[in-house]
Amino acid sequence: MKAKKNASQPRPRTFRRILRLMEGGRLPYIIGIIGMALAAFVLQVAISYAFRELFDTLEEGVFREVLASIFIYIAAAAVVLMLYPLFSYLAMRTVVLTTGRIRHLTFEKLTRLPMGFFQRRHSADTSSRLTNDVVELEKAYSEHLIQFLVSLVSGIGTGIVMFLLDWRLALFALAGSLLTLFVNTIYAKRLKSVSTKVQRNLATANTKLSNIISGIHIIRVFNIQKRIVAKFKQSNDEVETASQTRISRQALIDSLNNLTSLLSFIGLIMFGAWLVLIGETSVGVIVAVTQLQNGVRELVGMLGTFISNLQGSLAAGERVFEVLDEEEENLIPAGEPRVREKPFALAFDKVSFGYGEEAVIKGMDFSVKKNETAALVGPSGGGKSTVFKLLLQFYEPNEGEIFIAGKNAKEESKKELRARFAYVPQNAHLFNCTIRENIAYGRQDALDEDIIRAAKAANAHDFIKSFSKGYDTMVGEDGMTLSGGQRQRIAIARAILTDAPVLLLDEATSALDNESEALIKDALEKLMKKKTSLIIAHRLSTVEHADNILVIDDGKVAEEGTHADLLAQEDGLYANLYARQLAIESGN
Amino acid sequence: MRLFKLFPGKPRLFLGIMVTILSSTLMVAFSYLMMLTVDAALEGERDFFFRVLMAAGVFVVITLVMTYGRTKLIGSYTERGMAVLRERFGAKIAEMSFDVMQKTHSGELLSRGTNDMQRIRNFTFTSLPRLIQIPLTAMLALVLLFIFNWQLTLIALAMAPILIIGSSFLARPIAKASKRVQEKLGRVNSVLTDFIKGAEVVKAYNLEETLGEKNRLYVDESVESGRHLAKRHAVLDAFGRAFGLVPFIATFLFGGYFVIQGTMTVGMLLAFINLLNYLTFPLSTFATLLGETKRDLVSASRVFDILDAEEERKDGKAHPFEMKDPLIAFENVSFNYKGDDKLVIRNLDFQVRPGETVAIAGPSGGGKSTITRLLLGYFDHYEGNIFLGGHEVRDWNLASLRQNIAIVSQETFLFPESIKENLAHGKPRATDEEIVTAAKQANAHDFIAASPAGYDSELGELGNTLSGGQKQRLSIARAILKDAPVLLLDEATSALDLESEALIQEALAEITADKTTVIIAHRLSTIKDADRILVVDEGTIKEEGDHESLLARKGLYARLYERQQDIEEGGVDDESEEERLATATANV
Repeated sequence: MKAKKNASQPRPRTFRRILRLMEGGRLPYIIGIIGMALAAFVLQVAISYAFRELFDTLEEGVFREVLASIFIYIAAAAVVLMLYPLFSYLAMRTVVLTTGRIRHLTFEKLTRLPMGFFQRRHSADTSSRLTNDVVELEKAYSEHLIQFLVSLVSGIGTGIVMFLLDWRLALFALAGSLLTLFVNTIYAKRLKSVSTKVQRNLATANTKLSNIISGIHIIRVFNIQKRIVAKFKQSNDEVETASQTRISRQALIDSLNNLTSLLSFIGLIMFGAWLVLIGETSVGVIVAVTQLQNGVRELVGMLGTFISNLQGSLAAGERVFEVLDEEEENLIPAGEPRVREKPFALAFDKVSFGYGEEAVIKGMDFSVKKNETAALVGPSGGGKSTVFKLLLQFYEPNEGEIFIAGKNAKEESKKELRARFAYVPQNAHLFNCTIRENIAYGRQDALDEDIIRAAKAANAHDFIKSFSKGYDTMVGEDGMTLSGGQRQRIAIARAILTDAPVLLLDEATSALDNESEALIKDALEKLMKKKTSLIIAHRLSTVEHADNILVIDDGKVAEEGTHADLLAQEDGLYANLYARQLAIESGN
Repeated sequence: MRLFKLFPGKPRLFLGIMVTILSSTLMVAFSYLMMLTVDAALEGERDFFFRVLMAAGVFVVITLVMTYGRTKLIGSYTERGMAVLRERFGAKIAEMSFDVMQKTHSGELLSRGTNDMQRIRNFTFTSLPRLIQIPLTAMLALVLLFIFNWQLTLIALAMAPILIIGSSFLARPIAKASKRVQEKLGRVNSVLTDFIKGAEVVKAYNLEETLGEKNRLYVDESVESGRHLAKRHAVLDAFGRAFGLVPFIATFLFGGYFVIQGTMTVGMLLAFINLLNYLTFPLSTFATLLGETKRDLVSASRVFDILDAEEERKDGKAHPFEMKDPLIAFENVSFNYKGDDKLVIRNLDFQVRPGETVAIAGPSGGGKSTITRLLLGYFDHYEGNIFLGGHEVRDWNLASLRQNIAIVSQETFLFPESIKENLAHGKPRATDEEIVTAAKQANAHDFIAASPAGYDSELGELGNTLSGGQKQRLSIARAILKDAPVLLLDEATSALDLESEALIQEALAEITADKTTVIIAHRLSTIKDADRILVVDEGTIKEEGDHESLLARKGLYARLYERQQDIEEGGVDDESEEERLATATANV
């Protein structure tokens, strides 16, 4: 994965991409920004001129004129204020539409990505990219850019007006602003580097804290409190050291910033007063310039923050675009089939496959007849779940061919092939919607009756009905409000509903309560009756009753046969495994 | 408050606050000075002007020093205090009593130690100084304003309530609209996360289109709400700005009148406007500041809750372990968890002789894990007596009590350190040989040696680079290394594949041979070997005996056993139940 360090330059490519995504809304966006900038500028100028008029006429002492001039400027300000929301809305509307478009695009992309993507990347990372990072990216064109452009235009504008009022004062104000800019950019880097260090140390310390919390029992039972807390203290001290350094640097920046802003303000007034003293300008001008100076100061202060904010948002944008740029799944299998048909429900013909360099499946051959129940057993890591992934067309074999329902898998599209399977995974994978909807994912056009029938067959109907909302009960994320056994049964109901000809069952190994186990076993038996079934088995009972057992070891089918056949093979892999298990269970 | 009692270095805080107060006063005082300057300039008094110039210079220097000092003082006070707080927090968690541990979810604990901590820091460093500075400056400004011209002050102030009411009135529909947007986005994100986490099922069931439609709908809804919000925002923004002008307009008009009348000088008006800024601007942020402070204080109390939590007792004697007979004895023990009326254990009475392996079985919730917790000294408030190694548990010093017990529990917890370090928690100064020997006995050495870094392999967080079986074996090795006379096994072999189970059972069989062992098991097949089995239900021992005699009794145990057998060995075969039992008991 690429290093996550932020480049010190803004990213033009990501930026251009965002602009492209604004298609259709670019004009209102630009108009909106220009409008807002102009409005802010005019407002500033109007207020400043009002100030000047006020103070100058005060010097003269005629109130009526004061009133008249003020009202003109106030009117100007009012008009501007009325127009401002219009421009703001124009821009924000584009913002909202653009973000919506990004969300549409990213989800659509997700639906076209291959399984390899989901396996490679941590789910939380992908989730974060498509949720948090999108929000962060939006800030680039909803806040940062807009604020910057508005400040820029109004800042430059007010700067020009300042010069028009009194070039000497304007120069002085400009010098002050440049000083502020200087301080912020030079010193800001030093502050940032130590801030990053603090964050990193804090993250480490928090991880250690998290370990203390997770290991609460072990720590006590093994009496290792002192050791663990000492390690935590170490991290903690590192946090403090870095923090104290940060405080020092921050104090320096704060005081320098204060200095420059004071100088700009006080200095301006002093200088202005001097000019008044020597008769070169009027009080009104001083006041107006001071007022305008605020606008310029804002711009300068913004610059540093704007750049870092924008960088942050664009970095987030890159993370989002990385997903958009991923290679999509090829739904039409590649290659020409060597053999078009084989008279089996499922078959592997010299299949080899590996996720990376190393092969997990090495020249595997097997076949499953129609309506047969075949069990896959073998040591962990031997390739059993990979067989499922290949059957479900999540990956394509490097060598060899796979046959499903008699035909070579390369002859049909992946979606059609997947529709032939009813898949019950180890972990039920229920979705964040109602029980009814979860089961209905098995078949899109299912009626309520079908759903209930499937639930009954899965021995789930009873407990579903026992909930106050019944089938309309919301399943919490990952099905957390239900017990493991209940989740499994809903997953089985879903599989039953598909009415697909082949069952792929990855047996759950977690210890369910007795009641659930019996019910699940019963439901599965019903499911298996009229289907071709391929089961990754963990329970002895499943294996003993299978029509055919495939012992998978080191990516190949090491042994094959019925339970009795395999046991008869003295010193066979299966025989050994079975004997060991039995020995444990019968107390040897 | 407590926070300040806890943080060391109070003089720094006082000094920092003093400096804050002083700088506020100076800022306000300067406005006065400014007024004098301008008037002086208008009158042409050069001498006075230069004197003020010098004063201004001094003022700037003082402010520079004070700003630096303030940040540094309050900052270092904060960081030191936070370090102390964090350390105490971590230490506290390691020593908390079991009752507290039960009550608080681990995620909650972590959040308090990180997020709430962070809030405390923000409070002390940012909020507190501002809490002092803002009202103080405002008050001083107000006083000065009144001195200048109380009528004008009243007029200007009259605007304030209008402003506040106006903005809160406008803010309400925005809050509502904003909440709606968040809700819609929440739904978008939920579908997204569902997809990513359940990618396998999505692809296997061809749900891409269905979920895609759902997402499209939700995104469109979120865009719609977003537009709605943008509209409201724009309007609020405009009104806010308009309202903001009003006090100044009033000041212009009436102020101008007063100056012309002669009750105010020009300089005074200028100072007036400047001071008004000090009043209105910060006050608008003050409300938010108060809100934040409230939340910060809530966070602080949450952290203090933990700091105040009850710790485990440190008293008791460090007895030498005596190999008495019985080694472990529960005498008429009754116990209920604090806050729960139900007796979890009632009149429990049993003994374990040295070298015996006693299994505790029974339906879940019957009290089995509570027995282990009582044995480990997690609770004091039980009736009856519990003896271990010759002394009553409450008599024991907890650390030495636990020194004599090794535990292997169901959820293995391993630290994100090297394998060697993890195992060494069993015996802190173990030699490499001892560690390897223990690993070999636990059937863990092979897979450890097979990995590239061997014993120095770093385990990821929660040790998730290993399989469940491997983690269990490490946990067993750790327990072996401790070499404690008593071994507690809490359902150590559920949730594993066949191969691991066999290896683990082997390892356990060896080590339980010469230790006194108490096994808590859910699966009866794992405890057939025990010397004695205690069937615990509803907090008491319902049956007692070895496996065969319990089966013969055809009571609770027999029933539980049969049900499990049904599931594991596959239904009722040709043999009837009775026949099977007969075969099983034939050896008696």
